[in-house]
Amino acid sequence: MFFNSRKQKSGEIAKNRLQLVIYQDRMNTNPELVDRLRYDILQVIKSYIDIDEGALDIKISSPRGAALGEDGPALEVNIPIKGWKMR
Amino acid sequence: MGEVIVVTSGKGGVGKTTTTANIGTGLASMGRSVVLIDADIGLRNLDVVMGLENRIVYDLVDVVEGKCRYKQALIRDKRYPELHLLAAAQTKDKSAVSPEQMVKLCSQLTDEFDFIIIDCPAGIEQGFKNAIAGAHKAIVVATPEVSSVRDADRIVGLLKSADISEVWLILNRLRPDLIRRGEMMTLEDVVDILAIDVLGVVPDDEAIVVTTNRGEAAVTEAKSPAGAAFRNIVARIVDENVPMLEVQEDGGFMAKIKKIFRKG
Repeated sequence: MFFNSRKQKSGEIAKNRLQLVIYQDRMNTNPELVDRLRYDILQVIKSYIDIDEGALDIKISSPRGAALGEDGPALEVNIPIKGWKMR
Repeated sequence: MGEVIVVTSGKGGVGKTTTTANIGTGLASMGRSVVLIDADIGLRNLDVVMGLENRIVYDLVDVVEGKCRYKQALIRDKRYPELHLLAAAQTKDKSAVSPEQMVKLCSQLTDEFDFIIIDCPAGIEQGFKNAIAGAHKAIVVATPEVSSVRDADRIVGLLKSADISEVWLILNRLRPDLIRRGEMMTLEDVVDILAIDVLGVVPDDEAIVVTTNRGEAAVTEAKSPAGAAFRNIVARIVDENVPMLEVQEDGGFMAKIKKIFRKG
């Protein structure tokens, strides 16, 4: 990242990398948690927006490069929209 | 009624066996009766770390197969008569023992001993499942490295899903000099990620190499920083109200331990 010119210490780099990989591990090794999360997210969103439920994608990603000021991992939910319900 | 504690880590080489030997020796030095079980079948090591490698007659597999009574297989420590080792079999594999057999053995031992400490093999397969089967509590040993902490997180998840609710972390081989320069994760960093109770922090210390070479435990070495850390850990196992020796990022662990010694 261009504005992060300060040389980051390796201890901090280790922590940030670990956080991302461990949260991803926790999701990958706990499909039940992902299913519950997916279900609850769908319940909330689908009363407002007509979405493609089968295409919902949940992942934990690094926000580095994204427009986020944090170093920590982010929960990324991608749901294709089919139509608008509420006006 | 004794307590069964499994010492585990996921990753190999982070200090499980050394931790088991030091905790066992420390508990025995406080007058508790202890059995250490080496659950690493096929890769027996606790015996040589304890300096008891020449005394093995029967092993864990002999006991669970009924070839001898467990009392015949317990090897008494050289210095502490209340400390016993049940060695792993060297010529069998992990499938020689089942989780049910471990549960039965542990419950028999708790009738007679204060603490049963199980040295778990690396990995998350059969050997791990055997080692945790009879345990009430678990100690997860990790070093402040990405590989070790990642594996520790996986292990904590598996322990929780096996209904072992009390899980403690020992952060091993901390280097205060590296932490001071920001080139090593701190205890706080690791706890942030793992979200787990901390039993203790053990600094990197050459006394571990020297005592292990001799088949002794650093916990009885008055001047060893790691020994002092293990004494603190043992005191906290016996009485959870004992405060933890903490790492100080500025002064480091060593300084704090030296101060404690000067007072004594």
